[in-house]
Amino acid sequence: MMSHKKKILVIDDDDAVFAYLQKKIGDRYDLVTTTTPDSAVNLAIRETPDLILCDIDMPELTGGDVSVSFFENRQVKHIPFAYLTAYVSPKEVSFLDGNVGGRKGIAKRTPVPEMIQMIEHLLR
Amino acid sequence: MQEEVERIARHDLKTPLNSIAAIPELLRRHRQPDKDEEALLAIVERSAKRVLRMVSLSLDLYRMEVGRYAFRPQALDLAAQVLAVTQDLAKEAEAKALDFRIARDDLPLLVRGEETLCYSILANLLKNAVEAAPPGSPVRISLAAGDPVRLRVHNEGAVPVPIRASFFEKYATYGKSEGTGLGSYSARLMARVQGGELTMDSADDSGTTLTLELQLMPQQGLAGETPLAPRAALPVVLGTDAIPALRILLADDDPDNMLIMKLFLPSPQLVVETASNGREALEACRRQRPDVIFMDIEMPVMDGFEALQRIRTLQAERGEAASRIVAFSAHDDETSQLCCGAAGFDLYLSKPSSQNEILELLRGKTGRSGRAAAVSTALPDAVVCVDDDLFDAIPGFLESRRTLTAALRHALAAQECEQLRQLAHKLKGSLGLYGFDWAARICGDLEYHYSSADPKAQGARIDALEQHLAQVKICRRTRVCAASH
Repeated sequence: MMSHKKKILVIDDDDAVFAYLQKKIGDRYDLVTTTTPDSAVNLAIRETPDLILCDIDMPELTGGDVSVSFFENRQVKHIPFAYLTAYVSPKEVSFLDGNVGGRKGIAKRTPVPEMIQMIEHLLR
Repeated sequence: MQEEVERIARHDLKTPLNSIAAIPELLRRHRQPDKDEEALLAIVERSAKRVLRMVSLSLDLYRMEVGRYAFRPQALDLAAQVLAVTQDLAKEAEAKALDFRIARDDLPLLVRGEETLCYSILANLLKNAVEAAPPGSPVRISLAAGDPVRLRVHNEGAVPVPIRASFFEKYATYGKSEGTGLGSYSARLMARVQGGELTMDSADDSGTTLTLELQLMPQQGLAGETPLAPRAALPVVLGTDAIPALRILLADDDPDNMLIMKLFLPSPQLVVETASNGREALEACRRQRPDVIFMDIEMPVMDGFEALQRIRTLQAERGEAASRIVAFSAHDDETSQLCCGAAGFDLYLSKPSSQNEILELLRGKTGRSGRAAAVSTALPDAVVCVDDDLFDAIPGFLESRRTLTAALRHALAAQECEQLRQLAHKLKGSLGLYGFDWAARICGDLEYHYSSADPKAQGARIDALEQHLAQVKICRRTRVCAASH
């Protein structure tokens, strides 16, 4: 049977972040991940996620670079894209009205219930 | 789930029971009761304390079942315990014209055990033996030296055949209308948690023998401990004269508890204010700084953890000296204590506490320090509480963080500033996610100072981080801890 869960692609060079999300929101969403940002676009084409959560500070390719490559690709540019970052605290994100570097952003340390709320909002 | 409900119910039983147990002492202070009244008060006191002990024991059993019991072994004289239990059961034995026959090697038999656990096991074994023995027959007890030390309890009755195989199973009972089926089950659990074993052998012609094995205490004992003295007599109430004049704030949502605490605290030396939840406590601190705060943890509106944080912030902002804040909780397990320490409480006091304990604390002499090393934010958390669902992942997580820390050191040595910044950032994010707040802060500092010309300071941060990741103790977040997050 097809899963009715929404699918989220997580791009983060740290496995531990994905492991954390899997424990915390893995029963609610289908999570797929990559730790190598330059393979992210191809993975998104293959997996057709409903949302992309992308770390900002990664070696080689930054979140900004990744977001540009998504935006420039016709097959994936429609997929909602948000940063998931430790650059800002949950409070700062709220102060910035949910925007980080010109994109939607979620602080990594956002408490899980609020994180789910934000994800649901992005999935709408 | 059912067990969780049971656990909470048991915990919630303790608060009102503590109140009942404390009332006789308070009444006696008002006037000298006559003989009959004193007898009644003694019954109230004894019964409440007995139920409290049962509740505590069932909490401990729960911990043993789920493998979270912290065993605190002491050198214990098993023979003395046997003697105490047989004396307690003398009436029951007499009613059935039984006698206890004790045979023992003439050697000191110090075992590695806990007094309450051993007493409970022995009480169970001997009570069962008295009940099962045919009238007029003896109950034989033998103690044999060795490692393990073996204690055998024999009676001439036989365990019915259908029950023999399931004798130690939970809820197995035979022929007792009021049996819970927990006695033998918990006796074995208590034996095993002490590194021992309890077995049963029964046959129609030879009767029933229960064999308890407990580890022999090594000669030196535990850090010079001596065998436990018999149960301590009631504590002597100390004078209240040496209490400094302090302003005290009691925050507790249970009015009975509050009343008893107030009666415990001598006035006019102490000025006592009360608050029925965390918010009221915060308001009271805003009006005037208390010297000491006794803070219940689970309160409506604002719990003890949030109140603690806010009071600390308030006092820091105002430049006031920090109040001494004591977590006062009916949870008496080690995890709750560690969590309170990690959250920033100065001391931990579990309910029930006697008047002496409270007064000693106010004299500044006692109280278990929950914080130890964590008093200053400059020092790492000795204990980190992690969410239950992350607990199993922690060993792997810490291992990978240690690898990243080693990379951090390399980057510093090689003056690879950008790499150092990235690694510090990565560590900061992930450590924060998993609840390692202190470590996340240190990594935040490393990230912030990544291009600093002071490699010594950066090196010191890495040293501290490395040491912390190697030594930090992890505990599972419990209901008490969850509230602190």
